[in-house]
Amino acid sequence: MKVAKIKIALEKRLAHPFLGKYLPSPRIDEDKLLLFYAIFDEIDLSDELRKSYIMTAMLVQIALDTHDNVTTQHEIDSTEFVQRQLTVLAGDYFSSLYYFMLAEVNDINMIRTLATAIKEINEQKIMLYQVENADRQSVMNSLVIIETALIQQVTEYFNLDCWNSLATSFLLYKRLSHEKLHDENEQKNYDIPKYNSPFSINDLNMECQKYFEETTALLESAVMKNPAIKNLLFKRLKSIRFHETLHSKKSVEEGL
Amino acid sequence: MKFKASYSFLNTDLSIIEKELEKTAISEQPLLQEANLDLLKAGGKRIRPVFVLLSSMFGNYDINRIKYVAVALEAIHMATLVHDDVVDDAELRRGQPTVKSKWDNRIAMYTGDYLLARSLEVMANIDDPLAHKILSKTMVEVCLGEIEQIKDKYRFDQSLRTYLKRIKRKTALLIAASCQLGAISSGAPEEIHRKLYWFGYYVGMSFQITDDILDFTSTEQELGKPVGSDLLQGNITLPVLFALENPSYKAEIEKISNETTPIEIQPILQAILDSDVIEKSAKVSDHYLQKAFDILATLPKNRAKVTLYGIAKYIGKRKF
Repeated sequence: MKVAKIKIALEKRLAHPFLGKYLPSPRIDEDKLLLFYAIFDEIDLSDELRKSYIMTAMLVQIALDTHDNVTTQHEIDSTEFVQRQLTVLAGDYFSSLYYFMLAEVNDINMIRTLATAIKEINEQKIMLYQVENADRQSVMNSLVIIETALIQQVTEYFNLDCWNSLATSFLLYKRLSHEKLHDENEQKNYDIPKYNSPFSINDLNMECQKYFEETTALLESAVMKNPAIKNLLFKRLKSIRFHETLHSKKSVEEGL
Repeated sequence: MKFKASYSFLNTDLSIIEKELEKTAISEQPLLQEANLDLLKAGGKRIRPVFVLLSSMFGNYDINRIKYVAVALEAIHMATLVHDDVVDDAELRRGQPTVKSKWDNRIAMYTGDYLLARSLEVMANIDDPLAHKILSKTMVEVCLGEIEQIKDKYRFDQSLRTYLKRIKRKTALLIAASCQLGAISSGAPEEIHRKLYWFGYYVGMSFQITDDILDFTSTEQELGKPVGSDLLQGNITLPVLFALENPSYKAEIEKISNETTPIEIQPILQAILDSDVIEKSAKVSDHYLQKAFDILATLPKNRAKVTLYGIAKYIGKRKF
């Protein structure tokens, strides 16, 4: 499968011996990778260019995700301090690679497109991070942008608006099921420490159900060049659903 | 101030750049806007925009085009500083609280990422693929240099070559890119923009060596951080490399670790000041400065050339 090859190429591009010594391998969001693959599969491009676009979009995502891992505690030991320093620098490095790859293929407009997404995402990350007691609607708006701005910008750039709803619904479902997991475990969300989730577990159950159904319907009606990719997206959706419901079931059984 | 007076004829265009920088600071998120504006107000030398403007005078100078390069480079520099303050755990920069100190590390990360994205949005107004190839390569190198700097901390056996490569990536490449991109975006011929790259590179090397010297010879007030901070943080700079050639200093310097306190380091700082290593380092800085002047001599005569000469001389010899 070509998507697997892209993942390997991405891992190779991200590899840095010194970073690897101190930091875990950068997390590659396979759902986003698959979505980008599906979107670019719809565009008439050479394999090489398609691979470059997918990799650059993923590099941006990974750079942003990496900076979410920068710790804030004051009392840390020297190893943790070095890890923090390298987490900052790793994110910057991955980000510079996105610019470098797009400059190599001379796509200045795509550089702008992805930069706009990065800007929007960071604005919303700050919103979620620092506003206490935000209302449900504004939190939901921020989550939509954080999870989907990259894909939204890319699909708009290539006039593939049909993908907006599907990708938004899919990624929002995934994010909310993640929020639900945190809530059920009574864990503080590591992404947004000050954020008091405005969602009750009932809200999250309802929202998850809504977005799962919406994504399923959109996926069923989607016309794609490659049915294998559609099947893969279904599989991923079902897998997220499986984990979401399995955990809920366990919580009920254990009387949590 | 004499230095700023030397390029006062750029003042109108520098204020256009300042206004453009203010535009990059605007955000719907009040906190983000406040952080960006704090960074802008903290000032800085705006050396990169000055180099961009002057270098572009070797082509068809058009401030409405050149401003994009100048703003992008300054915004990249600012973004780097915000993240560097997290890396260095710095509370103050230019006497002002850093973003990470006023808010926290995470806000600093998001602010830096936002600024970096804004800078690329601005730079995307330049439709020359070569300009983007040069800048993106520079950014990759700068990041790799920062990672190397962490790797080389408290490594007292490193070579002069390692140090020079590190300061090249840390400082010289962005100044070189400022000069080259200014020339490229004004349509200057290849021969000219390549020369300006090397001019910027040599000036940048001299600038960083001077910076490394000032870490020992300046005052806390002038530096905005304690004297000897670089050494205390394990950054092996040129004066330290020269001091390590002396066996008695070597034994003392090699004892420095991340456990060493600012008081414990005082005798070493004094020993460095009492020795000839500052003078030897200044000679290396002068060597790079001379190379910059040699390149400059081969460029066509114009007002920018005279000003570049003055600026190079100032930043290579500055006292703080």
